[in-house]
Amino acid sequence: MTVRTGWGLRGWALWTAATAVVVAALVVSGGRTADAQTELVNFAAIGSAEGVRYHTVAAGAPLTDDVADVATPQAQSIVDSVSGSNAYAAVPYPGETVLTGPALATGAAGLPAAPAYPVLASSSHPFEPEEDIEQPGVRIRASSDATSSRAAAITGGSSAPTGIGRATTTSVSTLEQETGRLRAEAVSSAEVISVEGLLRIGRVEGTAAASLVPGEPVERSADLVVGDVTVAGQSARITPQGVVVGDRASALPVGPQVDLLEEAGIGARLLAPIETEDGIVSGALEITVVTEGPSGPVTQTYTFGRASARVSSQAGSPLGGGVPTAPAPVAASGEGDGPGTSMSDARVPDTPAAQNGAASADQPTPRDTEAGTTSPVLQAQPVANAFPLTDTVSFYLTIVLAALVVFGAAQLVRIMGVRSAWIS
Amino acid sequence: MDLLTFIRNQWDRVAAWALIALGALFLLVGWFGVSGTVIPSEQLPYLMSGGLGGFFLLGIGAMLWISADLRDEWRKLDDLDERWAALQADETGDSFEGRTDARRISHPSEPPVEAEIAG
Repeated sequence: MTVRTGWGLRGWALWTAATAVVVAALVVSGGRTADAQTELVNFAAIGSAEGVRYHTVAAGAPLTDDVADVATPQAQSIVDSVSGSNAYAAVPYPGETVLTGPALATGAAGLPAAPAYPVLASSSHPFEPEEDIEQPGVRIRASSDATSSRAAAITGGSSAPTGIGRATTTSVSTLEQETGRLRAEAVSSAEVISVEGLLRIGRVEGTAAASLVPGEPVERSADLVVGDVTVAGQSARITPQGVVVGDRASALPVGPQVDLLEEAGIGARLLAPIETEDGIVSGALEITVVTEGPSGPVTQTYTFGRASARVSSQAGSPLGGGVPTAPAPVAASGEGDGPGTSMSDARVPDTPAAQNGAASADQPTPRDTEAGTTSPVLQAQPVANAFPLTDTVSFYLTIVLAALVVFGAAQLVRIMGVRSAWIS
Repeated sequence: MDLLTFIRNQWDRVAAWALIALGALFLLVGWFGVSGTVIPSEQLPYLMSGGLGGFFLLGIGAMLWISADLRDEWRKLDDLDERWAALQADETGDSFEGRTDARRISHPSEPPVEAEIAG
């Protein structure tokens, strides 16, 4: 058996043809970069909802006046170009420190593994497609596939003078591969809210939705429905300015029941939706209860109906994206919310509830605008740090081209440097 | 020479061809994976395994091919050295038996190899 040690004309022709094909594919791929499909290089669709955010400020409290700031239940779904498709639902989301701290501590100490946080359901495509947890009073679920993620959380069952009958949050993020359309939708609803037995609200539901086709502007919509409001048994409604007792036709919008609320330190108002650069945060119902504490006034703030939806698609490298790589709680900061609060994109539903004691956010107020930049709002992580490299397909073709060049160079070394030296 | 003997003797060349074929296969499979989705997080595994894996397999294959050629060169040199030693043995009457490793035969007084071969 003879061994052909030379590469020969046919081999070089084959190598040249393969290199030419890859170069041509690179040229075609480079031309495609300007098309809509490759604008999906750096994208994100993030939906997030909080059932109720509870924030307590106690003047003169040790260490800090901000005693508590927690939201429950929470649902968040993400489909983005870096972390892929993932979602979580939690009651509440305790933060990364609480989630990972015990495992790190027990691992470092050589102790048995700490039990996992019991009321967190998370999913991530493809390794953890679904998680469903059901406990008394709690149902949380998260699921993810290649192009969509969903999260839902339901809690309920409080019979305290100040409590919620049921709170539900859902969030869905999707990518339509055929059209490149990104969608994010989130809904936060709460039913049978009671505040000190004086103020009762039958239903609050905030909805935020955002959609984006690459190359087109973001489509946003947000709803807020507050229904079946009563103050000391009297029908009422809530406006951005506060509680109004009586129906819409009444010439006396403020009744004695409002005095009862003020005497109890209870206030309620609607927060306007916030239009962000790449999405929208729904309007919300804010209820404050001010009581006298041992060292000063204690202000408890309950925010219902907050949901946010963000979609973005930027040119750049997927390797340079700054979106979170794991489910994370939405930041309680409104900084960078864009040009400002706008009501123009909020669709106020004309529902029976809205006509019968329900109120909808219809006018921004200076206080709303201020709240939009200082109060806790659902704010998904932005896509950042995209630097202009080529897309993944072009990068792959570059690797193939480099492999061919290296292989061809090795052949040259083999033939010119080794074989030619002793067969010539 | 049967196939097994060939593989045993030319293991580096056979390994080179196998690795080059495997690298090309990696690159091809990676290409289908990368071009089959628009989601970069799904493209990245193909990019790393198919692209970089194929790249390194091709590189190792090329290196082994060079190594095989160098081994051919050594075989040729050994063959020439053996012939030269055999000629030397014929001239001096010494037995060449048992002196299979011609590279160990070194006599500074001996004439250059080229002169012996040419003669």
